[in-house]
Parts: sequence; C-alpha cells; structure tokens
Amino acid sequence: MDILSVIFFYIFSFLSIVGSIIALNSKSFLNAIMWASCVFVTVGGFYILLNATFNATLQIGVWGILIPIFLAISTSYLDKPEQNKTKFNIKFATPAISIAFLLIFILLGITSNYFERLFEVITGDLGLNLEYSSLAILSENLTLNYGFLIVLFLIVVFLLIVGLNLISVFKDREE
Amino acid sequence: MDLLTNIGLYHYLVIAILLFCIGLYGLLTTKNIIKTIFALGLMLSAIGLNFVSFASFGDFKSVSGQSFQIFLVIISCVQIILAISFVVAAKTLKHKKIKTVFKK
Repeated sequence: MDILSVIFFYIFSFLSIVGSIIALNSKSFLNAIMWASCVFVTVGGFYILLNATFNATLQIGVWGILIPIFLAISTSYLDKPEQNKTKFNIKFATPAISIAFLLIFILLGITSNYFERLFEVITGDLGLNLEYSSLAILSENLTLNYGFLIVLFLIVVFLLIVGLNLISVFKDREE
Repeated sequence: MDLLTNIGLYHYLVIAILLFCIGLYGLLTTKNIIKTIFALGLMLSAIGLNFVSFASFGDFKSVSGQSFQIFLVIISCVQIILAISFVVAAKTLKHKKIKTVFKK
C-alpha cells in the first residue's frame, strides 16, 4: 500500500502541475476549462491520500465539476472577438481527466475495501445473504461511509467521459 | 532514496508551493477573465492543500485544518459565482445602461 500511495502521489503531482500549465497556456477556453477540472480533481486525489475524503468530495464536486460548468456557460456570454476561433478538441483533455478519475476510483477501492462491499451488495441481490438485503447494505454504507457515494459518483462521471470521447470519435469518423 | 519513497509533509508543501506559484503567474500575466478565475482557484486549492497536509502531518493532529479547507471551498465558490455573474451582467447589459443604473 505504501508503494501504491507513493506512485499515486507522483502521478497526481505530475497531472496537477502539467495540467495547470497547459490550462493557463491553452488557446481555447473550453480546453482550458477541461484541464482546470483535471487539476482540481487531482487535488481531490491528494486529499484522499491525506485521509480527508469529505474534503475530497467537496473539491471534486465543487471545483472539479460545478465551477467548470459555470465557466463553460459564462464563455457563451462573451463577445465574439474575445473568443478564440480554435476548435475545441475534446480528445486531448478527456484522457487526462478520465485517468485522474480512474486513479481516485482505484485508490478508494484499495484503501477502504469498497470492492468487497460492492461484492456484498451484488451477492445480496442474488439472494445469498437473505438476512441483509442489498438495499439495507447500500443504505448502511451510504450513511456510515460517504466514500461509497464517491465511488458511485466517480463511476457515473467516468462513464460520461468515456461516452463523450466515443461521441467525438464517431463524429470525427463521420466528417 | 528515502526522500522519494517516504512521502511526508514536505512533499505536499512543495506541490502546494508549485501550484500557488503557477496560479500567481497566471493571475499576473493573463488578461482573460476565465483564466484569471482559474488561476485564483489554483491558488486557493494550494492553500487548502496546505491546510489539510498540516492537519494530517503536523504535531497537532486535528480536524481544524480540514474544516478550514471546507470554509475556504465554500467562500471561493461564492466568490467565483459572483465573478461569473459580473461577467455575464457586463456582457448582457450594454455599457450605457450600466452607466445609467449607477447614476440613479
């Protein structure tokens, strides 16, 4: 676990520093916003390494997702000459964000045995554990440990990112 | 070799300093409003990282640093939403109208 935490620390630090430099120097607004969200998600990863999961949820939820969405909306209100004419290519920024989300997901799974709990939920669905139904275990985990919420949330976000990537790839092929 | 493998307080402080310096550079150099907001956010997240790292590695292990970080996130979120609303208001309302509003 120590070696893994060291590896995760270096990956997060690399992604955060490189992503922040790219975000400040990128020409298109949307590309900068995507790299910025990547940086803030990696800072959330640092909080998970420091055993501050609640702060990580706040960081990822507010800085990683909410504020980039607000910034992306506000770019539509800017004048045309202020907007750059370079076409936003989602394929450059999304792999970095997806890697960051996946790393946090794996880190949570390794550190707190979330995969075992997920497996318990699945076995409860199959009827192997009749005393505790799947919904009971799920609600218990949700109430006792908010980290379970993060895992579910990250899975949804990761699937969204993969879907966006696939849509962009198919659009490019059609063109 | 121990310095690379045993990650402690100083590693997180170095990362926080680097993020803060990149944010400061962006704040001073860019004229774009979106990038200045991002640079401000980068500096604030570096400060939050400092708080949390001191809370977990410092001599006084407590939750106070983490609670400070929560306050920091909430305040910065409000600040950035205000900044975005100013941008939207300045762009949607024309300058003449804004002047008349301030005169009255």
